[in-house]
Amino acid sequence: MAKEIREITIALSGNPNSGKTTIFNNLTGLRQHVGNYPGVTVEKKTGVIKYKGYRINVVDLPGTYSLTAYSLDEIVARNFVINEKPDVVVDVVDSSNLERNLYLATQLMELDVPLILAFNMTDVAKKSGKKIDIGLLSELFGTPIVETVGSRGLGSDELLEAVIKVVSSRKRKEKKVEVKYGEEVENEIGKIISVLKKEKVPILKFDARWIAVKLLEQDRDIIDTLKKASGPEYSKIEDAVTGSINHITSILRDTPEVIIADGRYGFINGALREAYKEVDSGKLDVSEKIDRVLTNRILGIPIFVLIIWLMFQFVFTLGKYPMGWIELGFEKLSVLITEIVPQGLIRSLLVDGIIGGVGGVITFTPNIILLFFAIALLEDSGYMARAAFVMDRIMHKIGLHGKSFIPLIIGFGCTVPAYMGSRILENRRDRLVTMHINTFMSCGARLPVYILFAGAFFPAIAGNVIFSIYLIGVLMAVIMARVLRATRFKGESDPFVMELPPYRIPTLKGILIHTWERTWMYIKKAGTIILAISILVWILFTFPMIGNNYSQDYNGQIEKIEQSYRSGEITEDELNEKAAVIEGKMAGERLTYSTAGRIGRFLEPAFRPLGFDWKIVVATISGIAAKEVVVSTMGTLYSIQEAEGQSDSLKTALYKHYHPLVGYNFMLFTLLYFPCMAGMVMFRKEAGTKEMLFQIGYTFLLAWVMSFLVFQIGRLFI
Amino acid sequence: MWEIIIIAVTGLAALAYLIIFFIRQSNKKNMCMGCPYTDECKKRNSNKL
Repeated sequence: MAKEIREITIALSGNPNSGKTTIFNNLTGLRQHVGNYPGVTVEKKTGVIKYKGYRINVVDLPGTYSLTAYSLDEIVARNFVINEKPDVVVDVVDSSNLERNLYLATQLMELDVPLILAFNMTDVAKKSGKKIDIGLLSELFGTPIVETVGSRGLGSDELLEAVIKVVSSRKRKEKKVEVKYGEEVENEIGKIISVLKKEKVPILKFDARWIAVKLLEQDRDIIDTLKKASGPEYSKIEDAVTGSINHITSILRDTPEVIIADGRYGFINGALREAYKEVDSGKLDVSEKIDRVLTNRILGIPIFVLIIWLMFQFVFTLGKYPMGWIELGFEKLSVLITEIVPQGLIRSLLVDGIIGGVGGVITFTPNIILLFFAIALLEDSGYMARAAFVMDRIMHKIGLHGKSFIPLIIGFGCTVPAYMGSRILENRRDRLVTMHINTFMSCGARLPVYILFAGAFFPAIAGNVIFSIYLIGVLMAVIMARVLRATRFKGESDPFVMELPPYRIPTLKGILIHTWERTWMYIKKAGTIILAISILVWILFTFPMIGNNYSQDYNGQIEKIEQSYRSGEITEDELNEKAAVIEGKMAGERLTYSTAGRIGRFLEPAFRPLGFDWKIVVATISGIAAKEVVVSTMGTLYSIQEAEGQSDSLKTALYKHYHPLVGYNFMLFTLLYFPCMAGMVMFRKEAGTKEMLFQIGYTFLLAWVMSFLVFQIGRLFI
Repeated sequence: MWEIIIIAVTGLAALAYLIIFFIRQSNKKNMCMGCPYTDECKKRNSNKL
């Protein structure tokens, strides 16, 4: 019998994080092919195994929690099972989390396909004191169960044996186990099946009971398929289904969708009560103990806020020492170049343009390393998933999908991939709202701006100030999500099951690799884009040159002071001081005369109500290219403006020129206006030109209005 | 004069670099410009892209 079938197709299904991909890799080794499912951009991985004379094709289905029609992955997975009719479906189940993982198994059972359950990670389950009676559970589910430990490659042969056995015996009718949903629902399922039969609805490749259940669940995909297949006849089915739904809802006081899900969980719980025991029942494992605190309803959010606050304290307090060393290094380099290269444009380009600009950005590398180190630590330990879980409730309250939190968290690193990450949201409205508010999740590129300004104006409480900016960003995201949901993007968000992987002690190697990858990108960016922009910014600040067009005869004034010194009227210190003041004025006029100065002055009136002078305006505009450029522009600007021999740090220079209120206001403005050019290119790709223009317009307007309010109200108190 | 020539050449090179860079990035299918999360992002979205 077995020899008749030489080619077998297996579909591997399973929850995300169940170890499905590891099993797939164990089975297929390097014989894999990656493509797409037809018509959609969901990745399709296939592989081939030759085992005991069989050629076994393995298809890795997308990881899903269920087979509803909420996401593209789920539709792709179930359509593959229904349309391609694989010889066997192997559902990979995480043995340490049976209740949730078996939910998918119950849905596969309903599809009436040859099914094998691979109980993966049984070693972890056993270690944590869980005892599973595999034989009994297999009987209760009416399907073979094979134990596997994917991480150690155990159970692959047993799985293949089971596959061959199922395929060989498939003509023998096995006892089919069905999940029963209670008398009321079962009666209605029966009614719908009889209407389907009576009206001779083409149910295509589907099982009639399964169709009836899906219609009661109001599965959009199935409804659309049936409508297309049956044409006007569908109205009779629709009437029957509506009647059944109303009946169930009135009797059981809940929608059939909920009752059916409860039924499946009831079946799973019942089976587990029989065949599953926790040896130390009542005793919580470490993850559960930690979760009791970290994901607590009341404590969860304050703990999350505290952890983020600690992260910024860590980044700022620890980062300021190496930052100081790098700053000193660049100062010494400037002095060295000043000594080697004769005075002139080339020296100014090297010292003011490149060192002032790129050096200003490189200086913040230690902070970036620490920030990415902290994020990697939170991610690798499993806490980020908890943060997403804690925030899920809030997300729903502000009208966002729980999944939105993931791209929003990515936004703290860089907004560009965060826009791309929004693709995980199937619903366009959810996706657009998430993208539109992602701007306010302050990206890593803005951190140097905050560190510079907070360090200059609020050195004693810089960490707290930066934290407050991040917090305002989150708050603005919440408010704008609410506003956008109530105006441009009305509608309900889809439900979502949040995955909580167990806590892990992160490996130092893993964290260091993550941190280094991200840090290297930052340094690379400073050495390429920031360098190119710094050169252009320097040119804009230098040309056209002022020549003899100064408003006063500064050279004459310097001459006079020098004469006074020679005649002994003033001391050397007084000479230097007075000369520095005049040179400062000259540099100021040179900058004002330059192209950048003219642009800044032209736009200055629009920003005056925010307390910004033309220099800040130029920095703001240059920040459109990339936010770090704000720092490099300021560095170049103040380096040019500094009188020869005077070496105030950029922080000191800023502190001298602006009030702390203006400093804070500028940080706020930097936070709120759209992230950068690359971000906008991505936004256009993902959402179209109209949405990109909306993003640019509304964030700029919001930044202006907020900064206006802060400055105008703040100045009343100073 | 030679200073002006060096600066003009450097400035044009910087401008050309930026233009080419942005054109290349905007033509890429999955743009991950300057992104510290590239690898993770690809992993996270491997089923979705």
